[in-house]
Amino acid sequence: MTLPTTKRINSAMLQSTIGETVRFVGELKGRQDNIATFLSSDKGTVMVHMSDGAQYGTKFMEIIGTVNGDRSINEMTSTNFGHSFDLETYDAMIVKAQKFPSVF
Amino acid sequence: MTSNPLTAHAIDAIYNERPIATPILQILNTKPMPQAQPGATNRYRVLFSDGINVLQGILGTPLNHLVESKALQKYTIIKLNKHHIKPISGRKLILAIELDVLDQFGDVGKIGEPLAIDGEPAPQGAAPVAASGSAGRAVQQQQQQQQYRAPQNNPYQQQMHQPQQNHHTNQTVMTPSGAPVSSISSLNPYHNRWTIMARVTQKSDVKTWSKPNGNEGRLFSMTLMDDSGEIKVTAFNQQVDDFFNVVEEGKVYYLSAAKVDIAKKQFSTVKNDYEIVLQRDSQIELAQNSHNVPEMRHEFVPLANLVNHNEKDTVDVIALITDVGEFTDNISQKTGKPLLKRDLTLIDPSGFTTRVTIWGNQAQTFALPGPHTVIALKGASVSNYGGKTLNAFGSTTFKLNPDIPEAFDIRGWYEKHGKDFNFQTHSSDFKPTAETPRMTFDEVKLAAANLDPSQTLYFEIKGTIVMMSKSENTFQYPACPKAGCNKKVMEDGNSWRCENCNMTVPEPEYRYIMGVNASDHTGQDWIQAFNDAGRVITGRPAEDLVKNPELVPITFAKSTFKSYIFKCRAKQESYRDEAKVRISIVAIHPLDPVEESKKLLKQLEEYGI
Repeated sequence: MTLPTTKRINSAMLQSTIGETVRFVGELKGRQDNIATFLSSDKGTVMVHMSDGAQYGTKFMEIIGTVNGDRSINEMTSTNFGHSFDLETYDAMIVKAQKFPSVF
Repeated sequence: MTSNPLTAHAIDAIYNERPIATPILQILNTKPMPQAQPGATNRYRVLFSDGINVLQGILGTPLNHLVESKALQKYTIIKLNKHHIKPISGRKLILAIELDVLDQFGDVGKIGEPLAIDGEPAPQGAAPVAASGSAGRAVQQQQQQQQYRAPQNNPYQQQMHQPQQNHHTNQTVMTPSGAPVSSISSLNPYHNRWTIMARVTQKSDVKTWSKPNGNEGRLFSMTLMDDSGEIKVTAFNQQVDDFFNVVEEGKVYYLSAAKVDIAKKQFSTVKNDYEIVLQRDSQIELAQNSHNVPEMRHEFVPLANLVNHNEKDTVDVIALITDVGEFTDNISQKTGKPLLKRDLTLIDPSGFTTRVTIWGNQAQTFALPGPHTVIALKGASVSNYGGKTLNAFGSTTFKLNPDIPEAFDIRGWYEKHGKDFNFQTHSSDFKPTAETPRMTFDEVKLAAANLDPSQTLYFEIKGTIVMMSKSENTFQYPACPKAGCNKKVMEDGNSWRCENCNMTVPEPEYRYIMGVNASDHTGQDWIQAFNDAGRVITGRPAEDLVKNPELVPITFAKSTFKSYIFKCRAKQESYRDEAKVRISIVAIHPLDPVEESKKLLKQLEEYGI
């Protein structure tokens, strides 16, 4: 089974990835029903529609999902990223990664 | 002849350097010295007589006007108020510094029939040099000898060929003050007619050397400095006798007729490509007028900045001595010679403390002149032993309580703040500020291959441990638990004996010493981990593993595939006649991914990405 390529993004990149499958890392700020609010690596706010039975166990999460027209993300799966994660460095990494798509 | 006013036997007293107060003498002749170059200050030769003996002399330049105004001429009677006696080329000359012309005697003729005191025929005699007779021949021979000895003084020699009364005193024209002064930086081996005027910033003791082939001798060296630079001057054997007592540290001298050679850098820390070797006919003369020669130059380095210096760099340091260690005279294991040394503990306002080791006789006789002694070290050698320490070798000079503003600053600071200050030491631990180059295993391999046997390479490497010590038994050794010893102890019945401390302990301290294999994307290598690194790698003291050997496999397994920043030292060692580069861990830090990522990002930015 080949999984689709998932671009690593921050909140600013959502606009250009509508309809695509992306990989997003953020700090969980809160949730209401099945919508979770995240602080993105570029300090924006990202809404994630959680998949059924999703469990967010740590402060930082990685979400794989598709980008909706309203720049929210429909979660497909998630990974716990622990309680200590340097979002700034991560952001610097994904900005660089955008420049060299062939490497990533 | 009028009554004789001259001080009888004054010349004899001067010549034999007995004290004599203001003798009255007669001038038998004055003569300007030939100048090597036009425009140089004139100098005058003078023949002094006490009616019994005569002796050649030189007039100090401030007295030149006496000759020029004809106040001082043939047969003038003078009172010699101040003079020096100068040995030049094995002969003594009077250097007249201060004299009064006693004109109350009016016109007098030559008094008495004085003879040269130094066994030379009296040059005053009307007999021309070429006169037959033993005296003439002696003079001739001497003249030849003089030529042979001083081939570099050609302009003077020209003079010598001319028959003239005082020709044999032509050696005095080599008196450097008559010639233009060269700067130290202009000296080179192709140019041998020079005179330098320089300050002795350092003078060694007389040292003896002996080589296995029976060749032995004595030498002393000194460092001369003028405003253009520094140069090392060495005297061997006979020249040690000739010059050692002539030269005093801190004073300014004229030096000429010595040999300029390519510097032997292994014996010297002086920053000059050349050095001077004193010869038989070299001349050193104290310079009276030395204000244009700079005082000892120091570029003091705060102790805190020693960390920026590599091993064997030489630095100048000014600091306060807080502790004087015991004098020790151990026998060197390497050479079998006694090692005389003493450690001093230093502090300075940069908030650091370090140790300086002084060696040899200086170590033996070292004593503090009083409390709060400030020491100024010039040319101390930096050592990485025990952090950053200093060594005062032969070429290092130090002054206690020097009369310079920096010394007063330090004492003032100490009296104000120093007493309750908490000083930092340069430990051998990893210091993030220390500039250690980050390298890969591939780069280390390359650098190590080009490593000089005497060099130590320091580097930092990011690596992952891929293999632990191959042996499960020999990763540790029982060590002496006494602080600072750490030597291996031998089991002796129920206790352990340390040969070094000469004591027996019930329990040794087990310390790690093991090879670990670390790798990065370019290669891998065995590196040696000592106790501190071993504890970080295994996460437990070596004692745990010795007492619970069943833990060794699991501990080693858990220790592998962890990444660290290793700060390492690579040094060539010979093992069974084979040169091998051994890498040891100096400090070890678990990899911090965030820090490391930031470092990489910064690197990318430096590449313009």
